[in-house]
Amino acid sequence: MPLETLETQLRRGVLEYCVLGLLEERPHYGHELVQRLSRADGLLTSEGTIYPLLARMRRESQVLTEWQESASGPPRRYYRLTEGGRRALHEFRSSWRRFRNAVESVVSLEGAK
Amino acid sequence: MKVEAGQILDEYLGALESELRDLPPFDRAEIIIEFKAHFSDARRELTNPTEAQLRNIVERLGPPAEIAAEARERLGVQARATVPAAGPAATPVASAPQRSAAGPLEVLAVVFWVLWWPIGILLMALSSRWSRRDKAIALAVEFGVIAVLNGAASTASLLRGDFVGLSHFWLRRARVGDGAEAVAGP
Repeated sequence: MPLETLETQLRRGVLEYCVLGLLEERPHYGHELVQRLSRADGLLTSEGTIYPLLARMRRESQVLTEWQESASGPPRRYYRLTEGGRRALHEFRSSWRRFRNAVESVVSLEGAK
Repeated sequence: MKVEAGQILDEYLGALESELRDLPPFDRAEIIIEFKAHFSDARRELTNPTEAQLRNIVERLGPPAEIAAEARERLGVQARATVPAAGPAATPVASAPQRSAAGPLEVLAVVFWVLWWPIGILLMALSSRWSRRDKAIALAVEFGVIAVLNGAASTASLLRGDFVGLSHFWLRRARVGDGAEAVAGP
């Protein structure tokens, strides 16, 4: 598999957990999430692709949305973590750690020399 | 500058909406709302944005076709050339055109609707030709009629040969009867 395809698929797979991770810290509105994910190198290529994902996460009750007044400009739609979202994040964390350790234990031998 | 920003956004949203047209309206509206908010948030961060900067905002959002593909995948919508699903779910749709509104069962249901509504309701419930919505409307109408008739004297209804009135008449008699028995006790 070309490395580029692999990266795209990995990114697609982990993106929702990255969103959950940011929301665990505090509620965010859409543009804020995009900015923080873009700052993390390579997590978001087309910024708009986050919105269909957010719609699905809301539909699956991992997040909920609420409108809040903002000091500057119109009210903002904030995403907040639900209990279900928190659970999904915890499960992902342990599964990611296992996966990462497994891959590194095999692949990183070269680099560790 | 404000007009120009609006133009750039409208152009982009127009293309996006058309790409998203096979999505359920609610999902489509939700995505469009977020794109609008995103654009206005991104623009507010720029003081005196140039046209190039504004175009950059929508370019970073990504091509509408890519967003739509992502939406279809994430939200579980089939690609545009949809094949109707096989199985029992597809059957009512296929048989709908040749469906007629009334068979013998439906005619009986209407007759009993007037004569004696509990039987009418039963027959209606059995009907496969009427939709749930049709049945709900019929129920609402019937209970409306009953409510009105309740206001009138049951005997008057009885004289008119109205059996809705009759059923109430018998109910009342039965209740009076029970009471009489209780009084007649030792």
